[in-house]
Amino acid sequence: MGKQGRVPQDTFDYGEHTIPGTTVVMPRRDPAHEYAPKSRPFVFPQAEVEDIAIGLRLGLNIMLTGPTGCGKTALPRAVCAELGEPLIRFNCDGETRVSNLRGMNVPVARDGVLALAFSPGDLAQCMQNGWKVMLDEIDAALPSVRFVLQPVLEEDNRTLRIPETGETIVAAKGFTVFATGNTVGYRARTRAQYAGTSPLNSAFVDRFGMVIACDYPARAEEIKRVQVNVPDCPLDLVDGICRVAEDLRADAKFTADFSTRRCIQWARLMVEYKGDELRSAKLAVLRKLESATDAIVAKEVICRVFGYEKSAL
Amino acid sequence: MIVFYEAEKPGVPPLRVWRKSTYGDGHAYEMLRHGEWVPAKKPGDVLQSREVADDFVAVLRWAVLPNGNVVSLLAFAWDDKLHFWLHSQDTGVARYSLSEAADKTYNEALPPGAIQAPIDTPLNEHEVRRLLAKRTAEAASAAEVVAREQAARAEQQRGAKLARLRELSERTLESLTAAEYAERMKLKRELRGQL
Repeated sequence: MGKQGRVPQDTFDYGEHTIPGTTVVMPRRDPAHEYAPKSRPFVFPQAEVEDIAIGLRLGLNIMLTGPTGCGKTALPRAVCAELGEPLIRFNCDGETRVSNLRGMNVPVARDGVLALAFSPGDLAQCMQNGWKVMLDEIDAALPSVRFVLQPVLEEDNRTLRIPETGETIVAAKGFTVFATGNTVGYRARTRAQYAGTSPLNSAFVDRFGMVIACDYPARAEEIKRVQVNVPDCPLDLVDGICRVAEDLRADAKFTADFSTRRCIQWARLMVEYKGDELRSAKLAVLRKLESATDAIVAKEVICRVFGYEKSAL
Repeated sequence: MIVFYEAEKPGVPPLRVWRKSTYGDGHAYEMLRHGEWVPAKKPGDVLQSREVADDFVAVLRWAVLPNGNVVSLLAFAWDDKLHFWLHSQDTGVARYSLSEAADKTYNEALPPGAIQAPIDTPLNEHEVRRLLAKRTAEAASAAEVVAREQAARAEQQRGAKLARLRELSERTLESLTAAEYAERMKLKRELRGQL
């Protein structure tokens, strides 16, 4: 996070702000907090932004699930950027320990003597300061870590006990938990690409007042998302990329995911390689596919969509 | 009757025509001189020197290449043996080999499009030149007609493709079916910078 401890709160106001491209009006902090994410081009989906606005107003924990690269992390990030709200992103993985979230004693020199002092973890700091925290890939965290989170997720009484200091942190106003995962864990059993995730305990899931299921957008929406990120890419090429994505997602023989993120990467390379659909496709799409069958299907679809002979790739 | 033509060689300006004829007690060779056939060397004659051999050069086959140059298969006697020599106007001597191999090499050496003259076509220099010119002109004319037709056809096709690309480009991308989109992208690549 860079800074530890309480960040001095400057004076600030809240004003009404309409999220671009939607009709949703939310309070915006002015000036923006120093830990507010930087604004990036983003196409806000009306329904999901409405959900987040309601979730924030009611003080709910919000879980976003969906396949890889569909924008489940980008959405709360973009909303917080719009609202000037501080958001700390914490990536969960199999190595994440409770101490990473809660904090730990660390050696410090005091009057020439080495002593232990408690250094709060990311979650503890967010609670103390009323910041928003995003627990990314929550289904990749160990169950023991998720159990520690349960009292934090009590929407009417969020607390975190710090055994090292004997203190109990009560969440300050504004503290919100976002969590993201590829699903609520069930895909871990069926889909190879979600290996490393584990099903979530239903008591844990119950503590999220709202679960927003994100998915890959329809072609028209996806075109907007790619365009806003890669404005230099000609529209007809973006359209082709999104047609490929749409066709591959609908193809039963294609077992991999084809994310919006991948569409954006392809469009970026398409610009660099001056509209060379095939060369950019090799770099941004085909070489990421592990299965030979997926690669064959993808090649066929790319050639068909862009009007090439089958043997062109 | 088989008629040979003497090769064009440096220092031998006139193209002399030889023929092998059968009369009397066997084969004999005659040379066309001042419009009349006169006796020439016979196969049984012993050749003693290069000079003599050079006098016995004959063109067995010739062909006009697409660029108008002539390739000829020469036969000559030297050192009491019959030799074959493939001669080309652009490169001088192109191939040299002995016996039957030369004929095979000759055929193989000819580039596609070469016009070959029949072996036994009796011609003198003037006729050779005239035939070459005629056949070259015919070939060129035919090639020109074909090229003109191809160009007209290509232009017609390009015009049709341009019109189709314009039609597809005027429509919104959402309204294009998958096949129409593919066609549009293909035409756009083909006609890059022409719309």
